Amino acid sequence: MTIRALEKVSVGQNGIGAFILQCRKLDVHYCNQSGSSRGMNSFIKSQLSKFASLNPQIEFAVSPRPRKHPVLIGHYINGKHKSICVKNMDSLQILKKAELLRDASGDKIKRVNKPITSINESVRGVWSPYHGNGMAV
Amino acid sequence: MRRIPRLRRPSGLTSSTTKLSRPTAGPSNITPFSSSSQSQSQPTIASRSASRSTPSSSYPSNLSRFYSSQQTPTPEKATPVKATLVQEQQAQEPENPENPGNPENPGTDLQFKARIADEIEEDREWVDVEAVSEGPYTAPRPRVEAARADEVADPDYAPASSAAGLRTVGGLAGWWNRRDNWAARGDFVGFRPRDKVVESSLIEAAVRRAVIEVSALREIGREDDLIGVWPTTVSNGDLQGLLAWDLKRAEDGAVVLGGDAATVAEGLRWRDDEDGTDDYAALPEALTTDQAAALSQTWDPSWKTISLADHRIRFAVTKRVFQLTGQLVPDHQLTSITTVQTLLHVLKKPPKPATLTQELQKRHLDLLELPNVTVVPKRVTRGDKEIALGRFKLMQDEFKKRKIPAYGHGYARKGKEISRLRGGT
Repeated sequence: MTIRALEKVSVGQNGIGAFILQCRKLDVHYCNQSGSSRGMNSFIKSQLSKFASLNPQIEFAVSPRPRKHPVLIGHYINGKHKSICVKNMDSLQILKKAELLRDASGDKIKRVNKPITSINESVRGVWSPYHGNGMAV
Repeated sequence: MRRIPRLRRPSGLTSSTTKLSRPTAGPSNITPFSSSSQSQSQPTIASRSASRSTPSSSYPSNLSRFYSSQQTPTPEKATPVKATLVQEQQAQEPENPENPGNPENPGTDLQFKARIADEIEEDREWVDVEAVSEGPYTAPRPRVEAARADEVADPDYAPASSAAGLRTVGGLAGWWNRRDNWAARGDFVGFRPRDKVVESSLIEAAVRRAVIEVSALREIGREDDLIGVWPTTVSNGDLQGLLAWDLKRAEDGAVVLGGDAATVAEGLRWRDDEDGTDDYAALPEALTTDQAAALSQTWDPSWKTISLADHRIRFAVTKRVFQLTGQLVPDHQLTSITTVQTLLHVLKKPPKPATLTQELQKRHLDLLELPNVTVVPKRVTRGDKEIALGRFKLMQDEFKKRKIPAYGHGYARKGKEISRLRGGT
């Protein structure tokens, strides 16, 4: 009896059926004294409550880091994290960076130098040395 | 507590016109550091230091008493103590009567000798190495070094091989932090009061007092005194009476005082013969916030429209408010102050919160109430992360197995150099 593999009917993708946000946590670090944190402090005061209530899946941890530049650190469900230094930025610029971290997948940034990317497997299949008629050398 | 070098007088003020009598410290608290005044003020200490022998000549004879009874005559108290102790020692050790020195058991012997030394030292009074008061502070005792082991005449003396059982002597730890070692008269007396007044009712009362005083000086024609230093000491009752004056702005902009201006102006005259030795005792009771708030209800609101556009008046009022409350008007805001109302608006601004967390707790509670937001007031350290994960307990167990302290670095102290610089060991 021939064993036949189950045919794959679809490729699993985030957002097909369910969408799971890849960013799970966002660290918000600021400094009370330094001037480079001025925008970050105003972001925490003015923008963060709305942004956090719009993204309830993400855990926001606000804590000071004295004598350091302000930083946003996103933690992702693949175990990686991505940090952005937001020194001297105003609160709207920092909001953009927070949205960037929220939307990121957490994957390493790869170079894309092909014009087309596809998630479908090639119709030609994978070459195997055990199949076919062989080649006379 | 580190001290700054003391100034004799508030800088930039001449001695004839600037004798200061703040409620906290009087003018006599500022003492010039001349040797004549010191010797006059402290005759006992001067005579004590004169009778004190120098350490180089005194220490061998003093300390040899710990080791020997042959080199110098011991005090009368020490000999019977030593004798009784030797008798006790012999009674406690009957198994070795032929060897009272007990060379086989040096540890016991050393402890015994150390105990004798302690007994002698407790009886002894260190009159000759008394701490000396120099200027505004009391210097520590001069250093006294023990005689070397080979210089001790007592043949029975054996130096200790370990510190166990010996008494610790010396060290300056905490000497400069003790308030007793600093004379109160040496404290720096500045123009600004020591404590800044932040209550709005007290600030308003100080502004009203300043306006009344400036108006009184102007009314009687003593405009030159506007730039001088005025005494601040006034009794609580007098101050309340002054603040209860009817202060109004007339139609032509002039200030109408509801009391005798000459009396107020006389109180603003600086008296150089003022004796402030008992300023601490005669400190008048300060105006309380409730009293100031109750008084402010009775004031005519037109007093806030009094003009401060004249720069001499504005300077005199802001200077006086700074002297009374410690609230300094920034230079860039001085030009915008034209009335009492604008001055109060600048002064009564609530202080900024020190940290962002405090501000969030005060004004942005909506952020703290969100379930997915945690706000931590202090830096989150690696240890905090381990504790949050629950891994710290495992680490503690492993630390215990390896005899490593769970917190810190064990025997290594933090900031050892700092404690040494402050006189510690």
